[in-house]
Amino acid sequence: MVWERLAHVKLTSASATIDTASDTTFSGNNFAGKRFLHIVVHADSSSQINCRFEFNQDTDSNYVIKESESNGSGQLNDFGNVDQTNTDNITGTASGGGSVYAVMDITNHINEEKMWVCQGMDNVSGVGTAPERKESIGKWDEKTEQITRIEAKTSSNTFSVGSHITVWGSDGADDTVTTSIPNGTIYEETDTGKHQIWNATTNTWTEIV
Amino acid sequence: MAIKYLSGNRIQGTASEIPSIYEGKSWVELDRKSVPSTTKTWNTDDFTSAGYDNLMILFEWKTNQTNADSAIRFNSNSGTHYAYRNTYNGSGSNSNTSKDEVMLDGTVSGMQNFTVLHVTNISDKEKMGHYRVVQEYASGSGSSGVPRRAEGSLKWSNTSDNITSLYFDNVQGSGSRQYTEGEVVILGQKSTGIDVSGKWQELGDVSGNGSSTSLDVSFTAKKYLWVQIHSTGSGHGGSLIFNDTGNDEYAMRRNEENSEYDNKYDMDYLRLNNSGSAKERWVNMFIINKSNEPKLATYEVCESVTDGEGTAPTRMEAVGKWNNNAQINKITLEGATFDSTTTMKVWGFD
Repeated sequence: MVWERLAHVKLTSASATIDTASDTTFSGNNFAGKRFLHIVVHADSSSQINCRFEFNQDTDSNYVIKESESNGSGQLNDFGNVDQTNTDNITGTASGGGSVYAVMDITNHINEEKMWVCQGMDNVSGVGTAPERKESIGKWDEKTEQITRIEAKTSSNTFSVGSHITVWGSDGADDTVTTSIPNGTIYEETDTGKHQIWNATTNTWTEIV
Repeated sequence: MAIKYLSGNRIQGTASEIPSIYEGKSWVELDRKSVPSTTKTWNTDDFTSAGYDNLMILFEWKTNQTNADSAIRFNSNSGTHYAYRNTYNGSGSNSNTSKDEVMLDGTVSGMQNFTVLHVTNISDKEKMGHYRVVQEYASGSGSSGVPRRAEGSLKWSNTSDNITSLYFDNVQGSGSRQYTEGEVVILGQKSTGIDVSGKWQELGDVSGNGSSTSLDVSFTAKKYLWVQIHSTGSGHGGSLIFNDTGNDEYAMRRNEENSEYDNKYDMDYLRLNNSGSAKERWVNMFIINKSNEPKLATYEVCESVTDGEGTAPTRMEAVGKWNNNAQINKITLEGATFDSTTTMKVWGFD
């Protein structure tokens, strides 16, 4: 089994939402459900932004989050019974422009609540201000469905062009997942100096003379 | 040499390494380098990372100096282009601005250190990263041998380049105060296009059945391990045992809900739980699994004691040590009657 990329969306115009449903490599709005997810979001803006996640377009008060920002005393915050899109975020708030970045690992088992651990940060451009760290855990109180759609949202302003989210998944059921070599790939033999070209129809290498 | 996958559908390798299929879809090894000799500073070779928007960097090392303050630079950039915020053993938050490198951790002479760094790698964006360090600190699994930890977030303000090399500096070292051994591995993930030769390979996957009180995975030992555990069951604890060995060989340091504890040592297992009464627990752990060295782990835990969104789960960040020189080739999860939705997965590579 390998980690398989399930979705990737990069904004081509500024938006307050990065939605995995915009990925056109799969049909419909939902990426394949996997038992374990690994999620990276990296977004920036010239204005103040933060980042919150919403799963499967659930805007009800079904999320709970616990966070610590920059390890500060008294910074342990609970947010229960929350609509995550309207309360707290997984990164800090990049004030006055900057970027946010989060790496989240999440369980995604049917019949169980979904739990995550996350390392987030916000960053003001330049090196005059140290980035803020945010460590959070949380859960989405949903047992009947797997997460198959994720929206990263900022509650203020918009993410800039190029901001993106990527989702990888694994569930232990695809031990033989492999990917074909693209037709025309060139293999450069470092010990012989020869070059080979791949024919994806015949699955053969041919030396380029 | 390892096969290198380059932009423009180009592959480099020896004649004998020519592939017939791509073996995976993510976590491509972009480069690795061992500490070349006893040295104060060293760097990797240049590697190609264009197109790999996300890097995972695994770095294990030793020095021959206590308080060596190991630091990292990208692309050997020695200007004051770094800022970072870190904490040691959960104590306070240290702001560092306009620095010429990022300090990962202080070290103790002859003791192992291991860090996992996630960092962005988009050429026209500032590079942002999270890192966690586990420090062996002292020999043994008794009170003095409890490992130490550091965590931080970093940035490199460069907005024109990909990360194409790493430079390491023993900040306080001089003369004979130097790196003595270690290795760094740089893994990359693409956001688009084909990722190939996934480095993290699944070593095992086991699930509960509603009556199981012990779940285990046996595998061929690998130097780097990534363990993920999603355990469910009524009022359950959680512990890991390596190679069926207890013998008071485990020690750990943890931060539970922003309170730091170093009082778990001479244990027969590696503790995973905040409480012993979880309904559901999620563990994300990385282990350096070298032979002839104690094993070090860094991990995060999210634990829920009741269903529903009315009660926040509890948080634990921890480092652990198994004071045994054998490589881990079996991991056993105990401490509960595990429901069928319990899963333990182990990935690894050498």
